[in-house]
Amino acid sequence: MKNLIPLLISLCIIWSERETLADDMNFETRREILLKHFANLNLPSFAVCLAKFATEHDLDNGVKIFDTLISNPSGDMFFMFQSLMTYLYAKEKMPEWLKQKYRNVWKTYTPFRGDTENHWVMYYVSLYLAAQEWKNQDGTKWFNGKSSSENFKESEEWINKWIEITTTIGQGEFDSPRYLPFFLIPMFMLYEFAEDSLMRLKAQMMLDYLFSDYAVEHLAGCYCGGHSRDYPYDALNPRYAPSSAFAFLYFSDEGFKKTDLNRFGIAVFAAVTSYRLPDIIYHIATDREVPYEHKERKRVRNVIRFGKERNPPVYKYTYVTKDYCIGSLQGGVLQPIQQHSWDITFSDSGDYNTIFSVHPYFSEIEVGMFFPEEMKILPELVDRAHKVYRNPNKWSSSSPYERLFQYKGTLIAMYDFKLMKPVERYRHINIFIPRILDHFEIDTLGWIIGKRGNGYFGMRILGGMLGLEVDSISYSFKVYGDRICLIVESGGKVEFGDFNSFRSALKSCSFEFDSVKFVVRYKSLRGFEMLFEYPEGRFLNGEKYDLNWALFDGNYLKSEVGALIISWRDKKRILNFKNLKIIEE
Amino acid sequence: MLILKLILLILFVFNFSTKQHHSGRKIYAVVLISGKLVVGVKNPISGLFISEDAGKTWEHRGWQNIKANSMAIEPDSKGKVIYLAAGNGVLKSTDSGKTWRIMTDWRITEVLKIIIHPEDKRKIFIATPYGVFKSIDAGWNWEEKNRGIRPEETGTTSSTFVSSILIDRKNPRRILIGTENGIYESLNEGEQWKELALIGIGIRTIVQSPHNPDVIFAGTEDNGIFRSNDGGRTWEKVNIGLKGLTIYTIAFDPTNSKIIYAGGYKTGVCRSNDEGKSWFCSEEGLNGFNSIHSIAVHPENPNFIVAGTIDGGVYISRDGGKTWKFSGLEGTLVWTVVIE
Repeated sequence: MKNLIPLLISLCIIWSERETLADDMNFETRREILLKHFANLNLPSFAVCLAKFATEHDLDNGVKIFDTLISNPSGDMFFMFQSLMTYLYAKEKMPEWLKQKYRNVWKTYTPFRGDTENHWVMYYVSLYLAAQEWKNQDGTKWFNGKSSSENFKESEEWINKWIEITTTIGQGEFDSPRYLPFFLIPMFMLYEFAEDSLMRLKAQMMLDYLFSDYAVEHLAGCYCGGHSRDYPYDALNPRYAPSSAFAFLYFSDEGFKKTDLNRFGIAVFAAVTSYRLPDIIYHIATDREVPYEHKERKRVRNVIRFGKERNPPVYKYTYVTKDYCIGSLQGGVLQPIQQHSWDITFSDSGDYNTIFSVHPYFSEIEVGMFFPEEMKILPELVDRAHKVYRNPNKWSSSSPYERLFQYKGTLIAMYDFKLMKPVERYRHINIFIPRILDHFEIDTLGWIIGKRGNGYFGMRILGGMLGLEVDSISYSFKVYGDRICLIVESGGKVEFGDFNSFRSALKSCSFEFDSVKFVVRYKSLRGFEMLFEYPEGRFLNGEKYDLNWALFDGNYLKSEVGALIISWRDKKRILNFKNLKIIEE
Repeated sequence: MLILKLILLILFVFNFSTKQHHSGRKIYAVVLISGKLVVGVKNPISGLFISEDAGKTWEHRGWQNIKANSMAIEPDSKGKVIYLAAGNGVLKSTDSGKTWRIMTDWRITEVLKIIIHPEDKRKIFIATPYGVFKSIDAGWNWEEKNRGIRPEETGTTSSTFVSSILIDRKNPRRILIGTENGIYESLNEGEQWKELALIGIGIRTIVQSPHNPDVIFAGTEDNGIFRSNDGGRTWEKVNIGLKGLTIYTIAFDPTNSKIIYAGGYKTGVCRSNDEGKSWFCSEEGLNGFNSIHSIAVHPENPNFIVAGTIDGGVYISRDGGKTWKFSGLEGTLVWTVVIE
């Protein structure tokens, strides 16, 4: 009995940790829960340290943690922004010796500026605010040998350039469940600490911009549809991606558990600021009563070799309902290594609530397009950092041989491996379907059909040989062939009623598939006809379907030159980047 | 007393022989990456390393992780003024690498090569994946010099991927650049570029013979080595004996025009004794690190050769490339080696 007591206590703790957080919390309550949770931890982390200062709980330990973390700096721009945010927020509560010690870090620590868009946003925003903090100091006081004013000017120029590019030709590292926080936090920092009121306004507008971009493709804590960069574990289990921390804090707490708080540390950096999400964006993130389609244009990251232009456009299409969301990019190499071209995300808040396919392509040409090192060794160098680049079972990848065509809940994916060069690998696609399904079958016509919560899907594989591996989390299909076509249908209770109605309706869908010309004509579940001639011939109901739309084009978000118009019901919020004004109607 | 004299004699002979080999010249090794580079975590140290004892020991100078690609030493500065071409831009030290300043701003990144004009040390050219940039004030200000190679003019972003620059010794206003789309030429110090040769081929290095300025070699991606005898106007493939066809580096014996060294992806170190007509490649002593990214030949003792390997650090040969011995910087990708 004596031994059972600790066990029972532990079980009670585990049970309470597994509890779903109350679902009627407002932002302020979630914010408070998050900060308290981290303030009570004792880990060497800036998030913990910042939470302690924000709640004024355990300040001595906050000082100790900060001292430890800055004593042996590493992490480049990740160190820069986290340490600086903590310092700027808490400096009044820090002892003088610690402040001096931290100031010296900016002289002695030599961070790498990085090679991605999110790296540069973190680097230059941190440098901007550091140069603002320690004004009028000469180059000998700074790690890069430049004076405070030189660093400030350079950073300000780049931040302005980034805002201009993002709001005119689109973001390069767009809609990334992994990297969204690393664009948001620097904007939070500018919003909170920039002395220049215009810079603060720009930061506020960019926060509204990035949050709107997320909100419109948000479902059940997930960032759904196509992404520029998605790590495999985030792709498989999107509720666990870092972006979900911001869904929890700003959109909704639906389905999140107390244990989830442990992985929301990045949101502490937002929670301590005075930024409040405009109601209109909150509504866009959570109102799923009426299904809607949404289009976006982004840009390819800088193509340094083998491209016709530096930043070709990326066209993104997403269809969002209460029960599920399905979204896609147009296919092709739009980002190296971690592209996530399409998915269905179910509103069921359990684990692995997604379906997608990927061609596990890799090549020295693909990475050579974006990275300057020697091409022969680039795949190896990428694998040293990312582990799975050359793995045939990987779950994130771009492919020059993949093309997609989506309209509403229907998506066609085509893979032409006949075009592959002999040295290129692999000639198969991987399809992820989660094990957690309420229903799963392969019917006599060949449809793979399933149900997850109130979301339904049907998938037809044309061309190729099918293999199926079943493990604890997935039905993993591998399709081998020269020319493979996937037809994906998605639906939900709101649109189709019960699951059986959806299953029956699938039988009415018809297709003609010509593997020689590599063309598919498909009469869809919703009655429209899609004709897809690989690679770029897209026709809808007999009309050419051009990929040619603005940065945002949907009911909730529309862009005009230099402006983003955010709408929900009769409300409007206009972010005018030309005149630097926020207009509410 | 006799023993003491003997010791002194040994020390004198040793010192003399060492000096004969490297004449007190420093060896510089620019390390791109030590093993792996993951941005945002603690990585093993990379960057600039200097040896002052003919490669026996190496000392790190300056920044720890900036994806350093290459370097240039200002002539007559006795190694005090060093430029480093790196991911963060161009770094400059005026105190032999003790302190550094980043000379470029956000407009310039991923600098692959840097070269100082032989007639005016204030004029500096850099090669980047975004084209050529030029400074006329020793690095304080930079201007993009991409007229003629911009993607909108050539139809490909490969033309601005510039990985090497050569200032023609015979006519220093003439500059050749090696791009991912062949070789381009400027006759006015980079103000305007035009196609010269090997269009469509990725160029990894271009070098001019110290014995005859009309002789130029180009190392390429997948196409081996090309030689021109007329200053770059016409080229011929000279690949006999090469073990691989991706060539990153070509270096000349300063005293014998017939001897040339080359290295590349899985080639070992290749030596030509007939002005590049044929090659003999050796891996003896390289411990399997047969991808060579940079070779430097000692100016006074041409049998003393330094090779920067991919993943294996620095190797040194004292017999004109026949055999190699590990020098240091184990596990690193040594992008450039320079003998002062």
